[in-house]
Amino acid sequence: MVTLTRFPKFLAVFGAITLLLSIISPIITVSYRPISYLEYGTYEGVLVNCYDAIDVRIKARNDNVISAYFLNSTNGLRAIEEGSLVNVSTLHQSLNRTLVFERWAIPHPGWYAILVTPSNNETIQSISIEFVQQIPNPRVLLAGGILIIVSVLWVFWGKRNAK
Amino acid sequence: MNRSLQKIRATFELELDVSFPFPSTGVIFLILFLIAIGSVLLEGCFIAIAIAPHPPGVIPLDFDYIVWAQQNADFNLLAGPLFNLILFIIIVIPMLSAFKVAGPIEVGLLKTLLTYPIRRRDLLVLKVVEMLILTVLPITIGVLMGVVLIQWVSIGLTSFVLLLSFWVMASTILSTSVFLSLVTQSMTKSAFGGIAIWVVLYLVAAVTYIPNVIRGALNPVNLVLSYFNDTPGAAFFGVPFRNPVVHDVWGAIIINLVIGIIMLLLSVRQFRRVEV
Repeated sequence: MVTLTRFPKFLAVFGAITLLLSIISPIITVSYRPISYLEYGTYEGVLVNCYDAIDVRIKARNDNVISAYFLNSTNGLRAIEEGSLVNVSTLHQSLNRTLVFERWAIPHPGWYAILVTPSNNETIQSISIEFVQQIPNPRVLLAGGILIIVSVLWVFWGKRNAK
Repeated sequence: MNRSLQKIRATFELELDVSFPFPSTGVIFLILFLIAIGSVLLEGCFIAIAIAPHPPGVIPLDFDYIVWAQQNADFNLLAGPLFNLILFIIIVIPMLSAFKVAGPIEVGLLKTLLTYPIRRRDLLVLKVVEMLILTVLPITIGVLMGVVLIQWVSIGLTSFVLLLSFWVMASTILSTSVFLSLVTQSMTKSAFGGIAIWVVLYLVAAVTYIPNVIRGALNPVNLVLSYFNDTPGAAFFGVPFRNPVVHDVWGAIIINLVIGIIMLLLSVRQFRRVEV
């Protein structure tokens, strides 16, 4: 019965690693986009798949004044198609800032667009967009917890049967 | 429990303990799991977009690509890491096979193992099943966990076909490597031979102008990826291949599977002849 005694130990280690992943995974997921030479009147950004509120940090290298917009994917695609944000509605917007560092809530999981543009009539040489999803990741946390609980129950069950 | 099942289980536990003494099984599993989940995380889940004023009625050049990328993001988030991990299993599986099949023959451990009342056929099949589970299962769990729990995207039938092609390809690589281990009876020769054969076949599938079914038989994951993305997948000196159709995909998976089964049967036959 070697396999049966090994398995709960393995499950416990697997669960502990999964719990760690719930914290590490949102941090190491690729979530950074540098933008170069952004002209006034144009917008650049990302379409990102969100499952929960998203922490966004947007900053220009020379402290230029910028505006950032957060849209759902339908409006984001419409904005690309039309070439402007005139006929689209935004979920959040941060106007005329040198640094945008906010948590943006979302109505439901899905794709969302983050866009940035210069507020003044100038070309910004370099901007970075960083977005990090909430820590810990709730689903991974739950999976890790379930694995540990199962391993503990398995050990108790084995001891009870051994008696 | 049925007597034959009990026997299989006892043999499995013995073989597992001899081949992978604690905690090596768990460590190998967790390392492969972390590599798989890491490859999903590094794949990222965002699409760069840009908006610039343009005349009314004109659709930007990259608009179709952005729509396509968003629609296929769920599938490609699973397909991308699996496609990258093929090269990884091309290296890992022949090495593991050399260590677990050619190794015991080379150093004489097989003689000890065969003193137990185990049929040679059962022993080899159990070794193959163990190695397949130990390499492909953690990768599958890792990418699925990464995609579903971390990136929060949904999986469907397309993902199932992709995973099936990955398992079939891995089992064919494994049975080829086992056969090579039994023929050479040398860890070094079988490990490097297995890696060399599959790297060559991988490159042949990627860069030579051959029919889709044959290309897919050598690398079914690539063909499944091309089929669901509706792209040629690769080009030969700038000339793209024909986009694969559904018959190409299933034909390639079945041919790959048949090659794997034939190699396994040949391995069993070869294993019976091995002198210990």
